[in-house]
Amino acid sequence: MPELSTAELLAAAGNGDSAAWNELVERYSRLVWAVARGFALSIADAADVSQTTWLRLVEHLGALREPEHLGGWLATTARHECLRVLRKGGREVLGAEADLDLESGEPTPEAVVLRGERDRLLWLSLGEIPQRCQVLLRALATDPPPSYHDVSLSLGLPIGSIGPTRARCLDHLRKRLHSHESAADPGFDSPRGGV
Amino acid sequence: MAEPIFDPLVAELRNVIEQADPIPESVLAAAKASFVWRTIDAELAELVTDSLLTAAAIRSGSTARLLTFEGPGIEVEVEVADIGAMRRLTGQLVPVAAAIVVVRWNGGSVEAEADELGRFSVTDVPAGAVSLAITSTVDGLPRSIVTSWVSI
Repeated sequence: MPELSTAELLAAAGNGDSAAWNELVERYSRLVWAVARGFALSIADAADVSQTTWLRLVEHLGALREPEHLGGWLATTARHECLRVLRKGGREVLGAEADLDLESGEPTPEAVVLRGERDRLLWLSLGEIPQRCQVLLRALATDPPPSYHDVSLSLGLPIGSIGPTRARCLDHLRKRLHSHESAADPGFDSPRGGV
Repeated sequence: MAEPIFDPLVAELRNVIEQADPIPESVLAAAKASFVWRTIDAELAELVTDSLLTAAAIRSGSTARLLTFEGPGIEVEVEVADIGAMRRLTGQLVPVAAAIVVVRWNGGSVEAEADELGRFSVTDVPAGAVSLAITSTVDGLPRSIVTSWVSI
């Protein structure tokens, strides 16, 4: 069977086709999860945001203005739900005006088993870069890769700023990673001053 | 819009995130299961205001949360109070009318009656995503409204 477009799957789901619905979930649930976890929500809160986001889609099936941009709609809905959770917990909300370079909170605390040392340091570094960068990079790194349009809505940023923001965020990540690698292995860095 | 420039660090990140923070199977299953809530015979009342997202509520530090849903010809105002892990919903239908109000959530529901002044109250609703299904009689005909899902 040829792969159906998102708009075709939405139309089928709107007519009661649960297989089409399941395919939409497979295609976009990781993006929704990436947004929720990127906002540093706990697993339980992220699960709640995901649930609410998909229920919202159920009630709007057939009513989306741009069905081909479902990923953007889901990312926007998930982001708004994240803001509610953060507000409810009395935590600082990252508005569109927030400084991209604000320091993020604690690194993600999960006890994670990552085999490679570089993987472990990369995961650690991801938790240390500004929050908005975490959302952006997590969204960008989802599989299947989302469009820039969908990514822009996960942060509420204009699409034109995604390219430069992505570059800055990757730069933040590289710097953190580099400093961790240097600390772990003093010989990793080439000596400065060339003594 | 130009395609994203390939950066090997993004690919590496994808691999690390898939290992360290994969979407839980239960979350995937819940997303799929939400399809059972598809309704075709009820009108939708959308969430239009949430005191949680208004500046005044934040400044005042008020704990009760006010939600307003609007549908064709109907408004539903709901106050949400936290009672431990449970929630109490106190609501008002506008225009005022007697109705049956069913609060639904994943795995359960509870029914209440709105009196002739359109007032209702429901206790022991678990925290999480809920939606209200409201059935009233308008001009002798039954009318069904469902509200947007909202996490309380």
